[in-house]
Amino acid sequence: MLKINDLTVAVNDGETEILKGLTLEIPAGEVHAIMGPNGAGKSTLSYALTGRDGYDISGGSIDYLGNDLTEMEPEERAAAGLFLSFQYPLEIPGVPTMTFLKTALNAQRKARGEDELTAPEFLKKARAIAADLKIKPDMLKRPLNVGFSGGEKKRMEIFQMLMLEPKFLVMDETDSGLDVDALRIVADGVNRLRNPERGMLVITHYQRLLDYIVPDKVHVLVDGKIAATGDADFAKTLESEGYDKYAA
Amino acid sequence: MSGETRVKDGIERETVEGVRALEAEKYKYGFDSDIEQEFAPKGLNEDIVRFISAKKEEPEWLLEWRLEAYRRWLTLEEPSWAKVDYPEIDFQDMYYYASPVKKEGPKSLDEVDPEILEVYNKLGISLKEQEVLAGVEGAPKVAVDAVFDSVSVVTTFKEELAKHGVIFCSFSEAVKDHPELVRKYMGSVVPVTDNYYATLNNAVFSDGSFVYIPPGVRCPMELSTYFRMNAQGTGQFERTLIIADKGSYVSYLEGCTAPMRDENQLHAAIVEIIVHDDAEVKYSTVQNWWPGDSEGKGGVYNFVTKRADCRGKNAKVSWTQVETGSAVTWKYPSCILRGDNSQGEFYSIAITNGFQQADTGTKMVHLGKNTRSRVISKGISAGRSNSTYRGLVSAHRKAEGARNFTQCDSLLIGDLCGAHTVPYIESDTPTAQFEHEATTSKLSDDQLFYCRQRGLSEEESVALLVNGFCRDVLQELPMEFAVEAQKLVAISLEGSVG
Amino acid sequence: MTSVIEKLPHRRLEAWKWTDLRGQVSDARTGLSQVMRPQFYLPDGISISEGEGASSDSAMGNLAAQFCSMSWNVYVPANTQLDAPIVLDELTQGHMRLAIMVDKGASLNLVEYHRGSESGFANLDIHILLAEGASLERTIVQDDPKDMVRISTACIAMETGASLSQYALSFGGGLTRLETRLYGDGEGVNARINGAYLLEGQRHTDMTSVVHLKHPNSHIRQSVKGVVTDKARGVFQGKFHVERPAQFTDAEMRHDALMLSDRAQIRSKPELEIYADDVACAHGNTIGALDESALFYMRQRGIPLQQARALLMEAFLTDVFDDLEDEALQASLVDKLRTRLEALS
Repeated sequence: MLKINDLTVAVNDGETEILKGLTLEIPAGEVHAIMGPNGAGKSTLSYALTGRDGYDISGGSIDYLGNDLTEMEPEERAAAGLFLSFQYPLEIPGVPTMTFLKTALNAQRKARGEDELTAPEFLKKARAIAADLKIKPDMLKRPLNVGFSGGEKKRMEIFQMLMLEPKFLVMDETDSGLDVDALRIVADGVNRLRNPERGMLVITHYQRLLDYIVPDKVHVLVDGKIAATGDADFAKTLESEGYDKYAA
Repeated sequence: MSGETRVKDGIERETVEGVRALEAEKYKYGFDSDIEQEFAPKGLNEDIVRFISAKKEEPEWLLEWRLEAYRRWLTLEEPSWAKVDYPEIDFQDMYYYASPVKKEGPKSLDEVDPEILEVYNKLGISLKEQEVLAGVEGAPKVAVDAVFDSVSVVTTFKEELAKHGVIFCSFSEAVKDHPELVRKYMGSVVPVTDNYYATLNNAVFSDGSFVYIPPGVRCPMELSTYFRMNAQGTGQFERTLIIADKGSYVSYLEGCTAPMRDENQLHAAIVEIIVHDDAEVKYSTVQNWWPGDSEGKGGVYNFVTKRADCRGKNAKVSWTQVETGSAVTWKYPSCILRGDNSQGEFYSIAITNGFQQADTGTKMVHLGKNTRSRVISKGISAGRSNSTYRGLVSAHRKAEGARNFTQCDSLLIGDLCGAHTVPYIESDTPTAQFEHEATTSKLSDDQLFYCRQRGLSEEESVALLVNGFCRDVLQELPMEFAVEAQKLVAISLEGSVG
Repeated sequence: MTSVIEKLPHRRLEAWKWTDLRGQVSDARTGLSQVMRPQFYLPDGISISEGEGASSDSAMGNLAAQFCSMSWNVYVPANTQLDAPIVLDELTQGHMRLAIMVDKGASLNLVEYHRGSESGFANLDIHILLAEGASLERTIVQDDPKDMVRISTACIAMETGASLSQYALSFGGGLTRLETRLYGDGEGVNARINGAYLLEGQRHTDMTSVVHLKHPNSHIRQSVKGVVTDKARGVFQGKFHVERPAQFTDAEMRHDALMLSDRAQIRSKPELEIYADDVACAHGNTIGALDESALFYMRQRGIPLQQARALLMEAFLTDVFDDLEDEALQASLVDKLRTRLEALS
């Protein structure tokens, strides 16, 4: 589903290389986790996948469902089903959450040639999902993420994810800032989306999240490359042993 | 300021003790010194300009420079846009040259008139001590250029500086010994015709300091100039020229005092700083000219043009000023951020009390790419004084990625004073990011009460809280000045409560 | 004709340094020496008359008086609560003088539509007196052709306990200046002075205000926001002047502007002149581009770039109208902004 081949990515006007030949394949239906020390390039990978400005792809390729991802605008990637749950979700003052989400959902549907959702259809869907995630209705009326706690913001990311029903999920440090109860709610939401057509990439610093979202494979990202790969238990080994032995 | 006050103790204790110890002295630098002086006749005309030039044995080009400036000055009008009010200055009723009588310039400290050394001792700048200290391990070294009225009397540590290639001398010496540097840089930051007072300075400037730091040299000690206006009815027109060549660094301190006099003394100086690639200059001022008496009589008119040109890439300049003196202040230390990635900073505390008026601020002119500037201004008005922050932040169309942050806070103590903020913000590029915040408020009654409950007097409490209000700026000062500055804050506010 | 031009303020005057009126106006302008023919829509019970009106001490006020010997006068009797606004329309070109008195305890909604003509010139000199406890909601919609020159100056005197809410929406013109001079002549006045400008092409809007407080306990909030693109120029000049007796003043001023093009310009001068010590006064000013991270976030969720920009700008600008009480009017302002924002791309 997602094939990353020998990817190099630089930031700082191309001066600082962060990813240095990363190769990774995630078939549909699988959940892969990426772990690694700070500065290994985990967030860079998530931004390179989603097309953020300033992350220059200087080599290699990203194939997503047969398309060259690097040639697509961020919103085209989103419409093609790529969703990034941000490590630090943005606050957008003045734009109510519901307005934002409806605009996003209908823009994606329009890009895919689907009919736009009517207001009642949209509302019904939103209310149901909000209830599952224990999100109070008045939160949806407030400007997006403005004044939300860290945990509320992460929950709002999952809410958007469930609303947009993406094909491929990238979760960047989704567990940071969450207490155990919130973590369970978030993980339940993610697990609900697991199915044979969907792929997921879970980026995390701690093994804790992987107790709730059990991955098919765990990769270690060190110094811009995948240094080792293992199964779900490998995450526990990593957590106890650290990343030092994978360092160059 | 004797040895014991140099103790760098806890900040709060220092402040409180400073207030206590100096209770009676409102302006302790206000003594008069009886030193034999040589004056040029009163008044200003081409002959006076020629006289000054001749006295200083200047080359022909500099005389021409002065005369041209003088003629230009005659065509200019005194600026009136600042929020200051003072009686018309009679430029003919003033001495433009005063010098301690001494045939030859002093070669070393031993040759300096002991009376002058005594004056500096009283000011807390013991020039001898500085030299002696040099031998003491761990003692901070500060090279001092002392300017007494119109003339630089002595520069310490010259030899040691010379070993590093650093030139630190009086402006007059620089004209004689390093004419190529003077001619190359003088007037290149502040043009002769920049403004009324600057043009006047170009015509009649007396002396000042000259600094050149060669490429890659980190100046081994702080450089410092102390200005003392002593003679009656004199104007002081010094100029300072600092050149930081590629990759060099220097920290420069400037201090000023004047005796108490009934009439107003005029100070119209120019400071030019040139900063080349990767170089950094830190310029700190404690300005404590005589502010006038409690009725608003006398005091110094301080009309100063200070500007730094960050000519090279990654150049950095930082202005830090503590302004407690002068009857009228008109002063805007500025940064021309020409080189890409260059940085300008302005940290200012301006305290006015009595009848003082201060109109001060900065200009941050962003010309190069990714230039950054930061302005932190703290204005404190007490008594019947007025304090104005006036600033300009501008981004040229080519100044892509320019950044500015400005914070101006004003504090009013008593209801007969005024605090004003007049920022000009101009942006011509969408990639510039400018942020400006300003507040005007009074000291919190709750905080005052809290301090007094713990046993501080009202005045001590005010001094303490004002020092807290100024903290962001005080901590930018070099250690040697920080303690002195805190005391000044306390002294300046004496009589502001109750 | 030349004499009119000579009387116009120019950039050498501090208050007009960024809005060079004299430099923009030539004899060819229509309306330069005409009297404006405005249209008034008055609620029941309110009448309009012609009279001497208020005298002005400004250059533009004097100029208006030169052409209009009479002023339009509107009187709202004490304790009147009107169910409809006074609407001013056809403020196309020429000079006009208007004086409105809202007597004690009365309240008024005033809506002004400033829509001019090609190459036109308009000069409005408006004087409003809000008597004790009176309140006014004033909404200004300015939408002129791109070469129209318009100066509108409103002097609003407020007596004890009076309140003012002002909302201005400006799309600029060859040169537009909306000036508000507020005088707190009594204790405890309450004012909100908000504005938004959206400028493209070579349009120019200048929002200038002076709030002059002479008595204690006033509460002032000001927020002006602007978006400029192409070669447009936005000017904000705001001043709070708090005199010694005006203790306990609580006043905040903000100006925030977004620049979308490298030929656009913003000029800003948020000024405080404070003589009272027990006050809380503040101003803030930001200038910058749209938040890149917010844009990326929105695009990551599938919102196309242009739409994301429009949405962010709409949110940015319209928040100055949040407290407008007339909801239909508020919606119409937001609509106008949205239409222009969508056309920007």
